[in-house]
Amino acid sequence: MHLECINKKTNMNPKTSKEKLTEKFSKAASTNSKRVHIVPSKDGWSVKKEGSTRSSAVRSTKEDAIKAAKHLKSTERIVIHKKDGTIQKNTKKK
Amino acid sequence: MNPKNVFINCPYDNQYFSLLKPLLFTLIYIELKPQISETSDSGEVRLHKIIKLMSNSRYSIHDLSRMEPIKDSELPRFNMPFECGIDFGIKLSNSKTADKKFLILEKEQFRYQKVISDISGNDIKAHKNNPEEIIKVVRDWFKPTNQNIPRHKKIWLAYAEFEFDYEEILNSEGYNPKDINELTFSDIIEYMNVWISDFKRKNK
Repeated sequence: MHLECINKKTNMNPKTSKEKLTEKFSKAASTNSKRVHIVPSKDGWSVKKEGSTRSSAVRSTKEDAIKAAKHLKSTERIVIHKKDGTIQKNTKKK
Repeated sequence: MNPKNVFINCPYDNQYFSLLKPLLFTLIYIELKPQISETSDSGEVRLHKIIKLMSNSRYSIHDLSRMEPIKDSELPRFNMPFECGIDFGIKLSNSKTADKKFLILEKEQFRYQKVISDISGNDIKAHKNNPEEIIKVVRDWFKPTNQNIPRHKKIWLAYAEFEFDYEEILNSEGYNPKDINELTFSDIIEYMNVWISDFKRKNK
């Protein structure tokens, strides 16, 4: 009962096991998605397709990097990162 | 001493989490083994575990960038300089650990001179509270030990992709990805290991 209350309060999935999370991380790293990341970097904003180890383009502003990402073929989603690397937005390409 | 082990002495709070994750990620990416104590252990047990981890690590990274209080009303935090001092003691007191190497991280390049000048002469680098910079500083420090270490930008871009997966997976399972206490460090390290090895395999 107590555990149920805690799970309800935190929205925690009680069935999440370490094995399940490990499997999810493995799958996420192994599969190629059609996401493009906009990543802050020393030389501006990098446009990086998932599954590639290099950036496709570097632009001096975030807005220009987003425009460049929209022009990339096969892009379905654009993931915009904050300066600290965390995620600001994950949007569908329009 | 394990030549791949890197002991990490750093603050454990949500503000520092955005630096700790890229730090752990970089070490694993360049095939080293981060050693970090869990915060759940009681004081004495934790100290003994820390000493064991330090004694078994060829390298140590001591981040002294958060010595000051988080809020003006709080007291300064002495854990990081205290643990750094213990590690120096281990290095200097035993011929078996005399080869230990230390990287000391700070927020600004020369701030340490005002508060802990005894460490002058060691490798002290500033990460400027920037996750890409911490990757660069750590990667550059280890580069002379292994010529196969890639450039920092490659690690940073891979980290950005990992960060997306980390937030998405934790959110989907009802965890808060911004909370440093949501998973144990050993779990985070294990998930990073899995992710990095699969990522590298995919990009061969």
